[in-house]
Amino acid sequence: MTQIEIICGFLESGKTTLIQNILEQEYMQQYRRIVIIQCEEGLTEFRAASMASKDVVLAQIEHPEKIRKGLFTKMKEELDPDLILIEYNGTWPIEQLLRVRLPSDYRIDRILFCAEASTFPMYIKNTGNMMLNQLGNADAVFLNRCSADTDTLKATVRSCNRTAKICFTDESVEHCTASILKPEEIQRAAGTLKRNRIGIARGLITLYLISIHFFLNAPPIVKSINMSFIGILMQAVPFLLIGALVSGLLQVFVSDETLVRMYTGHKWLGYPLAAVSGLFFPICDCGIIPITSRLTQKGVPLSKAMVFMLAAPSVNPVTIISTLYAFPGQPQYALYRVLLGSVIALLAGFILNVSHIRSEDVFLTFSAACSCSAVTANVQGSGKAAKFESVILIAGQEFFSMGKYIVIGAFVCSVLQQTIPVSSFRSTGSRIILPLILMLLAAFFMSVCSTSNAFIGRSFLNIFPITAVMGFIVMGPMLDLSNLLMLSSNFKKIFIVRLACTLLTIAFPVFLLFSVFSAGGKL
Amino acid sequence: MKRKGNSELIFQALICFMLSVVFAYTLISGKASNYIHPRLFGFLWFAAGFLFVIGVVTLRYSSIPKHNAKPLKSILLVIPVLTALLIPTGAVQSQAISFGISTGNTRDSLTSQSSASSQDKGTVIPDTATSKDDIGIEVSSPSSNVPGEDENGVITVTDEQFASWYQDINENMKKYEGKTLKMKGQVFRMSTFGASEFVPARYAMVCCAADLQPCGVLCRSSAASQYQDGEWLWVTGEIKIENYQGQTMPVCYVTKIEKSEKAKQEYIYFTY
Repeated sequence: MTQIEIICGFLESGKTTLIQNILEQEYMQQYRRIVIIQCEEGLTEFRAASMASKDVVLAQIEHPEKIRKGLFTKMKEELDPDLILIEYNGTWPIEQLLRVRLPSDYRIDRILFCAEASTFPMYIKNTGNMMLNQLGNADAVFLNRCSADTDTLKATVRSCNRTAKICFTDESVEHCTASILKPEEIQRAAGTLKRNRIGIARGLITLYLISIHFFLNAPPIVKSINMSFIGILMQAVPFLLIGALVSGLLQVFVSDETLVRMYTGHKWLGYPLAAVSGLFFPICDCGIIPITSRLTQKGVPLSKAMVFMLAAPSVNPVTIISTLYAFPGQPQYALYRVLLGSVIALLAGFILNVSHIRSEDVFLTFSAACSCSAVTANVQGSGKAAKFESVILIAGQEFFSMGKYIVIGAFVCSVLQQTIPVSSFRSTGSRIILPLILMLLAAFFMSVCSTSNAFIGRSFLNIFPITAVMGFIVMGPMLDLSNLLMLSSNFKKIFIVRLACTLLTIAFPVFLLFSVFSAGGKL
Repeated sequence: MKRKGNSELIFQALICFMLSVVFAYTLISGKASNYIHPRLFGFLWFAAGFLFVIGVVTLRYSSIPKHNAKPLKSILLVIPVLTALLIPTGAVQSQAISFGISTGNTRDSLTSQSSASSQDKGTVIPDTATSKDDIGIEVSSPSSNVPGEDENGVITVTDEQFASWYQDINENMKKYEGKTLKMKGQVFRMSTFGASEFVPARYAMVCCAADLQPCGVLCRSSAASQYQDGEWLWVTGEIKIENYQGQTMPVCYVTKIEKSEKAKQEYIYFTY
């Protein structure tokens, strides 16, 4: 068994120092023969006390084309090392190396990515795909000479690579390399891995058998839950896909500057514009969230992006039509919906603007490079076909990241709907506050799409007053479980909680006013 | 020396294909109408097609190896595919969805809330301007698909007419007052019903299976207790307009009950 470790990163990122440190470790004595392949110009001599006693072979490669099957087979024949350390050139695509068919007992173990903390954010912005490729494939990221603000760096790394271990200090780097290279540690890790795998496999098989049995002999309630679960999904997935497609189109075809200028051109005009622009995105609330995330990533101010996100489900043409259908002959409800939605969205945007939230507190991925550009990193060329493929790839990734939340949301919603009878709401009086709270709760947990919730809200009309139903219809798309879950993939939890509280505090007075208006204003 | 690729993307492409096939299968087999309103079929076709395209493109790029791929990242999306294929389709007919027996009665509760809406009372029928947007049949204009009297003076509501008739009777109750109606539905009862009361209900879908609600006219019959919940019946009776638990609504005084076949279509669909 020959273990291959890849150390990548740009020039001056501390790769050579890392290898030097590794070689100095006590446990390196246990390796029979080590080959170090350097893919950089200029051979660096390694000097380590531990090296004298054993075989360390240095090799140099100057062209990425030389990394191919022959290199490793020849190495196996001539040197037969048990550890290969590759210092990989930062400008070479990592796929070149990953694609090589290795001799049967050769295995690429880990990819370690080195970077200097101070220059890392700049490199990430300017070098584009080259760095993203390596970073995205890394198992561990070592950020050297790190002074402060590790959170931002961490978030930047996380935006491209969600699973890598991140080390900031020399001790943690040492610990990490020991866990990778120290033979005892390797054996122990292999042991736990094996045990875990066996455990997981057993668990999955039992779960599978139970669920097969359970599915085929499902009691009626499970069938009902499944029916509405699939129903909600079938209804939501097309709209989610439209949203992902629009988001992909925005990402590929609309330049950052155009979009940002549209919203920031005028100090105050941006807000009504943000509220109205939902008209041009005929998709439901679950599709709006990826677009909002894209807008904020492109640099649209947070408060304006939020106005857009909150108002869009209410001013969206599909929603307006569905509201017209739900309240036949009573177009004023569609109008109320648009007005209430925009007013609440604008007020929320205003409060966000005044409260001066720092963007570090808002985004999980505070970085110019987002995870989506990592997806398209491999798309070659810039023609129409390449752009088309980029759009599809982005849409696909968006679909998969949002899809999880839709599945969870639809599941929770269908379970609640089928197990809690709506008639339990019936016993409440006709006052405004309690029905409003109940309807907001119902909206929150049912998470129905903005394009269809008018119909469901309408069916509550014989139990609750119109104000509570309007609360359900207007606030539902702004503040519901599946949306919050979806938001949490891009925004920090603390911000989401804040947003929810802001919305609630705005919504109550607005709807109380509305009830005064609708009940008393015209009397 | 095994072939290398990006297991993450391969898995995602597989999920796309599976979802696409499930969508297309339900659409072709006609099962989709158990899950969603027919007006959304176009969207579902789009979803099936687009997911297929995503699958193809994703598969193309999955040949580029990725070192730390986590194929199980998207496993949650397999769940709907599994449940859709494995759990047999059943009817969502739990008593939990008793939103009330009259979905069309929105105006009655409105009138008690605000006098403003009472002005709209006469103009509730969605007119031709809105019915153009429908993909389905134009049920909106009441004259087109509403049952009429036959020579015996009986208004028979067929399976296809149920939805439009139901909207019609709630909007123009007076039109049906004193008439004899023959309608088909499943016996539905709520806990608040008296012993002689039941509704021959059809389950109506407004958007998807999650919002199914029983619809029908309240019936009074001394023989009501003979019939089980969920049983299919032809019910004939005379319509009177009554105030029932604060709602003005049509009530049918039953003259004849016959057992009946299940309706061809599981649900009825409101098109606005």
